[in-house]
Amino acid sequence: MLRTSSISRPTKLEDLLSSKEIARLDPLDLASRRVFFGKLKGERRSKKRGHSVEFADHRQYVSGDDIRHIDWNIFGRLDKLFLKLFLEEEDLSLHVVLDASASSDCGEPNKYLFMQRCAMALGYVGLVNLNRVAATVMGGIDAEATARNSPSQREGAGGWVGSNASASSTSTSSPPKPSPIRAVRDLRGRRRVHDLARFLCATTPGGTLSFRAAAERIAISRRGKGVMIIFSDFFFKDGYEDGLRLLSGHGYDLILVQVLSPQELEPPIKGDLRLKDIEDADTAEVTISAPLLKRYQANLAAYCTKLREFAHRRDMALLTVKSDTPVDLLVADQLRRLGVLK
Amino acid sequence: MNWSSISFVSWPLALGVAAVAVPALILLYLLKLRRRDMEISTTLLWKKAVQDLQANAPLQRLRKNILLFLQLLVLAALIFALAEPVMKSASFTGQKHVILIDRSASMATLDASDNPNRRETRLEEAKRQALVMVESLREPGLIAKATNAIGDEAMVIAFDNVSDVRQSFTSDKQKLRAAIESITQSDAPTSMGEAMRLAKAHAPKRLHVENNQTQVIEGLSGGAPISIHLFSDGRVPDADAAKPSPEDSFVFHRIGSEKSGNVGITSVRAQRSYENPNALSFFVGLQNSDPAERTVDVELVVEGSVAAIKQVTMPGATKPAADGVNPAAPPKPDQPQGANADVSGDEQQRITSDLNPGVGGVVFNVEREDALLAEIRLRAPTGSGGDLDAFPTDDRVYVNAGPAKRLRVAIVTSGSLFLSSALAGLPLAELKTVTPAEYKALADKGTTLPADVIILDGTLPAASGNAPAAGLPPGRYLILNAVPTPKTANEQSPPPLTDKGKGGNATIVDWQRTHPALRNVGLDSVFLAETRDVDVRPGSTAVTLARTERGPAIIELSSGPTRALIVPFDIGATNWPLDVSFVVFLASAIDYLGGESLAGSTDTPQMGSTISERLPAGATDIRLLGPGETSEATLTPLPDGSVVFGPVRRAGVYRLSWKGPAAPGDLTESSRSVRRVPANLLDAPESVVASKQTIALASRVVNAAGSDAFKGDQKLWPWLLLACAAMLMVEWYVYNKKTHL
Repeated sequence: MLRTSSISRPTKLEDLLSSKEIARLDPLDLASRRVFFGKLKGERRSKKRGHSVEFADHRQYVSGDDIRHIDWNIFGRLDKLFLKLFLEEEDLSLHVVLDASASSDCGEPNKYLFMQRCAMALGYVGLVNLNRVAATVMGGIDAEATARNSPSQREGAGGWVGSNASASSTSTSSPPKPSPIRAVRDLRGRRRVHDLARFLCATTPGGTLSFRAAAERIAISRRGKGVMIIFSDFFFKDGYEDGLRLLSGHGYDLILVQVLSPQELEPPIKGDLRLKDIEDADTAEVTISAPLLKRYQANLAAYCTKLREFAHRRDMALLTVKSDTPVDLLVADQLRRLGVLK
Repeated sequence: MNWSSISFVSWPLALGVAAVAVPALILLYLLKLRRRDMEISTTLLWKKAVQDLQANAPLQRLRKNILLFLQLLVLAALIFALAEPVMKSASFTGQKHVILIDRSASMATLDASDNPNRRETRLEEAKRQALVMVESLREPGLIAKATNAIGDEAMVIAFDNVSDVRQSFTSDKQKLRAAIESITQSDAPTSMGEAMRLAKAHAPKRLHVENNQTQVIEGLSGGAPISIHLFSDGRVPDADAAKPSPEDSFVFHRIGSEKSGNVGITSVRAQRSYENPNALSFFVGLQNSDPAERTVDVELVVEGSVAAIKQVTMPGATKPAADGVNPAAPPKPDQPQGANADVSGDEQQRITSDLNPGVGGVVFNVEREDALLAEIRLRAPTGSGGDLDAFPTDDRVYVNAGPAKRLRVAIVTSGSLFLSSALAGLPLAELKTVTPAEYKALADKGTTLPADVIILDGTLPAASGNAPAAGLPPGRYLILNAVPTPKTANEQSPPPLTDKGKGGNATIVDWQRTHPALRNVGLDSVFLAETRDVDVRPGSTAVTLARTERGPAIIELSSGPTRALIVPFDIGATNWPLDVSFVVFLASAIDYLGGESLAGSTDTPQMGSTISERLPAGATDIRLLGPGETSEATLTPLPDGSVVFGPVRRAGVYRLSWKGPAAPGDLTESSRSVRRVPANLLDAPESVVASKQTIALASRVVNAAGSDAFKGDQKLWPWLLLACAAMLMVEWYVYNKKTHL
């Protein structure tokens, strides 16, 4: 709840995931509650019959079929032409969205750091299983934006996509401004793990965020279908409903991970306070008392319940986690139970 | 806790302070409220929570602030402490209280405490209750002190059969406590009349102001009505004479149990046989106020060793006759109901306070020649064990018995047939008859007749220089037909007796029937053909024992070592010698005069009275050691050679010792003469120790106040201050917890 007093920002993959965690992630693979058709052949079985070693079915030969798939053994027994059908293995598109508004930069442990690590873990699992991985950061400050001479050098496959990309090319000396979104797309393969890590480490949380605007941008710019996992605290003063409505549908399997710090669940504050919103500097004068704390916790529970009900109505999955949850536990256990991983 | 019993002594002050301090604290709190800034992830939920809570409470931030709440509590406690709250369960309406504490013998009964292991006398309990009452008196508050107002006042009177004011009206509790503590047990009987009169006398009088002249109106009390608190067992025989003013309240605090039975000695007398003086009899009267029949061992202890033990069974106390007035009959409805309200049936049987005690007696006969001091004591029968009763004072009496001595009597007469023949029949050691001439010759030689009693018949010794006081040489005289007119030491004052010569005929109309010389003497039929008129100077050493219509007929004259019974008229001119009363008078008079020369009388003085003992001439350095005392008091003899001490308050043996000759019967211990004077309770009403439930005054019947008549006037402010301190500590803790995140 409170701004994290001191934090060391991660700069590379090792800062996000330890080798032990990586070892635990290795056997995992992405799954989806829905089955999507991928673009490239991946390591994922598809409903489509295709070219793989895994047998699916037989069907009668019709003219035009590839004769290489004729099952000659059956032809020998029955004197009829049958085709052997194999399961097509496809890739899956994983889209990780992080909320990098200033409210994420709170809590002990820091919520944004937790989001970064979760995103890295999921991205790692996706990449090593030859899935297409995209990552989007909503809000936040791009610390490397000013340092980069050519911000659009990675445009395209695996390139950076930022709303301020064009702006920063003309005015590189201007102070970093919060951008609605920054994204990296179409990462594939183990080699891109470090690219993903670099992207995740490049953004410092801060500033305000209009979730609706950010969601709109994501909805417009996204390609294909797949699993989208949004990490946020969902404390948006203008509401989360519009944004989520924009993101739902379009074939995406939407999974919301609400990250709350332990301090937000049980505020360790006392006395007469002027509480200041870290994003919009809004203030609330409170005198902490037991009834007030009780009321706050009731409100928080009601907020989360409302979010969950909203998510269920739109076929999204919601997972509320504390920022002190171990990342590997979240990924290997909770997300797995949710069906995101297998 | 009964909240209505709390009163505030200085409530106006507290109210004033509260009116200023409470708003000030709240105002200061509102002004001083400073909030710390704190950045949080979102105010979304907090604002909603605050809005929810503030929805119905405009003073929400005050109400939910524990620090302010604690401060207000501390302030409230301080303000209450300033108001000086006191708690009592019964409030007295009067501003002035009179505390009457019964210290009589029955208050020594050991039944005040229900705990058998902690035996406590009734007086201790009475003092304890009185101290509690003193604590319950209202004190002036802080403001009242500043304006010289006073709180409740009380006076302390201790009484047995005499009363003394231990402390006059004061509001100084320290003095009152000290006065109550200083009351000691007495063995005297009870009489409340004097105490009531004292209480009335000290009550403020009504004043009448006219023309700037203030007059005290006697008999009317002024000011606020007084409350009289009697701490007693209710055994007050003269309670019906006490008449408190109608506006005064009278509270009877009953002490002791109404079921206490008692066995006690109510009378004792030692008497030697007239025929055989060595045969000494002790007559002991006993009383049992227990409803049950009681058997006791009566021990006679002579000079420290048990001489005889007799077992006596006394009937139980019985209900009084039906026509007897029951003083406890109808308690007035406006009186507070005591604990007797629900006493019924068998319980009533056990209440012994209104029963007629059973009586018994025992006689001990011993053969003793010497003078002796006997102790008679009661004990529980051998083998029964335990205590006899709760009231030990009357279980033990002391009595003196004079030596078995026959008297030597000398008659100085020129010849009297009546005298010689009357005295011849008396058991005397020696009867010597001398003529006046022989008597004068002896006196001239400076000697006197070797006789205990000298009867001067119509003659007087010549006045000599060594007997200025009575005109008689030291000795015991029965003077007939003559009037000694001794000169007093002071020439200006007239002599006690003035001889006015012979008068006309007369009859004896009045005599002191209780005087030892006139006991059992009937003088109704005595006719005097010729009287001798004598003037007795009031206030002198002469006392008229019998008088005719013309004047004194028999006079006692005592002065120093001389004592004389004077019959001024000529008995030959009367019919007295022919009457049996003459012989009885002679015998009694000789016994009285001769017995006076023996040490101590067999009559024991009554408790609370003064004791007068005639010591032999030449006694100096006279000291007195009372029972239970360790230091001797020095006494100064009166001009007639007697010492007076008292009033005696403790039963037991008083030891008089002096330097000088000892009278027969006195002891001699290490060159000092010692006389033992016993003093005993011997009071039948006092020996009935069951406490009474009601006390019948002249004007009303007062029930015993309940045991919860009052509780301590407990000051609550120290507790409030304590609570203040505790709350400050809590506040400190809360403050620290709030500020250290």
